[in-house]
Amino acid sequence: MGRLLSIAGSSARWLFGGIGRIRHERWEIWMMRIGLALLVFRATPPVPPKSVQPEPHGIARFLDLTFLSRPDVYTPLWWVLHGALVSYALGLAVGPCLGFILAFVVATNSLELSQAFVGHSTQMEGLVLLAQLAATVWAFAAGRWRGGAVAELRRSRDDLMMDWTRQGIVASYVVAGITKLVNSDGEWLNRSVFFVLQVHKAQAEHYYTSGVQANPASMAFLSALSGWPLLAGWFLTGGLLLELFAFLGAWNRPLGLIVGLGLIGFHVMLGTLMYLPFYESRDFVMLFLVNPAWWAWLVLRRASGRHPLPLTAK
Amino acid sequence: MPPASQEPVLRSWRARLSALGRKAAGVPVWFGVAVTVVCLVVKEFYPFSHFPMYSKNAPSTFCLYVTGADDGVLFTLPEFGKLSSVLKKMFNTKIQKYKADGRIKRYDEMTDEQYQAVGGEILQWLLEERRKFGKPPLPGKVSLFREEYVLTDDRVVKETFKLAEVPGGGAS
Repeated sequence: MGRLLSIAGSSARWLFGGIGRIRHERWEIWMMRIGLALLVFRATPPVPPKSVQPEPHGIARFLDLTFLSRPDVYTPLWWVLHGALVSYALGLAVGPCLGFILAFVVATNSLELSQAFVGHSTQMEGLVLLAQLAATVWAFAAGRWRGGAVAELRRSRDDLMMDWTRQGIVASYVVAGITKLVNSDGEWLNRSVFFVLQVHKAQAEHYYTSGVQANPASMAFLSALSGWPLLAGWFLTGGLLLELFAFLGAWNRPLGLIVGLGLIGFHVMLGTLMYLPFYESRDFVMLFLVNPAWWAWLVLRRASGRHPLPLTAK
Repeated sequence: MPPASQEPVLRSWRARLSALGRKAAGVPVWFGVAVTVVCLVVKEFYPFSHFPMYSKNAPSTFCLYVTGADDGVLFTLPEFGKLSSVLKKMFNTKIQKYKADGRIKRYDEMTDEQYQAVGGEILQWLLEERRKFGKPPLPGKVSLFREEYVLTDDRVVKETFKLAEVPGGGAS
């Protein structure tokens, strides 16, 4: 019993003891900036967005964004975006670059979402860019550039950018969890028996999209839900708790790893069973929360006998 | 009153919890809290969203699908370059406008003419997307169907309704 308590205590100290802003290694900042630039690059096609906005969304309610559909406008801006992404990745003029990148992404996505159907696969990209820009502006405005070595101040700004990025990512999951409780008047879990209908619908939509029948895993899941209604309750309870407590993932590195892997597993499961892959969200969670490169580096460092590092800044 | 031998341990645990609490309170999370509040308040304003997907767990749900002249299913990705889930989203957006305009008070008050109007707009949009996709016009008529799923006596019951029909634009 004493040994169990000791193990529990050590585990709790490892999980929760390292509370504080994470101090990133220099190569981590490079990796995260380059990773974010690649993700934005991948999400931004060379094809201009739609030429109409019948149901204006976001800033399209105040601005006519259809000018972006013109190739003579969009193509040069697209190339400027690439330049801004490269500059951002290299850490040059980070603030102005982030300002342009965010404006481009918000404008083009707002126009795409103004077509009378709103998707939710691109919001995380915008939230991450907003977090990064907000942290950059905050660091500048809070006078972190004044006094002290520039390198140290720049490092503090970089830590803050990635810290706020993690907060922005986990906030989106917490919001999804709260919305479920609000929209169902608190009955979301009590209505878990109806979840089987959503799986039927998801399989039907997949078929009507591509003509391909549901995969065996999805069929088995549907069969299990139909045979054991309690399964839906467990499944949904796990998902809801993961969303509501996702904020822990921004707390420190160990919790970022655990929550991040949980969220990715959740997305993989939904992608297989209900054809809701949310690939972009998975990539952001992997890059900023799980951060496998750092863990591999920690293991290698300890294996080589070097002095163990703190998991978070003290 | 705990025995004296336990007091130092309790103080130690209390002290540890207290220290943990002070540390936790010092972690600046206000950006995450601000994003959460803004998302919940503005609901849909890119990049903010309240992420309402699957948030109701309603006792019924539905999807939409398209058929051609021979009443065979037209799969939306190869025929129109779109996911079929887009049809339902568009349908819901248009129905919400009906409610916002006061033309209906509840969603189940839609008349056949209103369904034809809404469904017709969706089909016309699909046919325009097909044209941009580089596909030829479709022969005969194109129809939009609603496939509804309801849980009745622990069984999933599926019902299908025709919502709208428009000419495909090609030769009959």
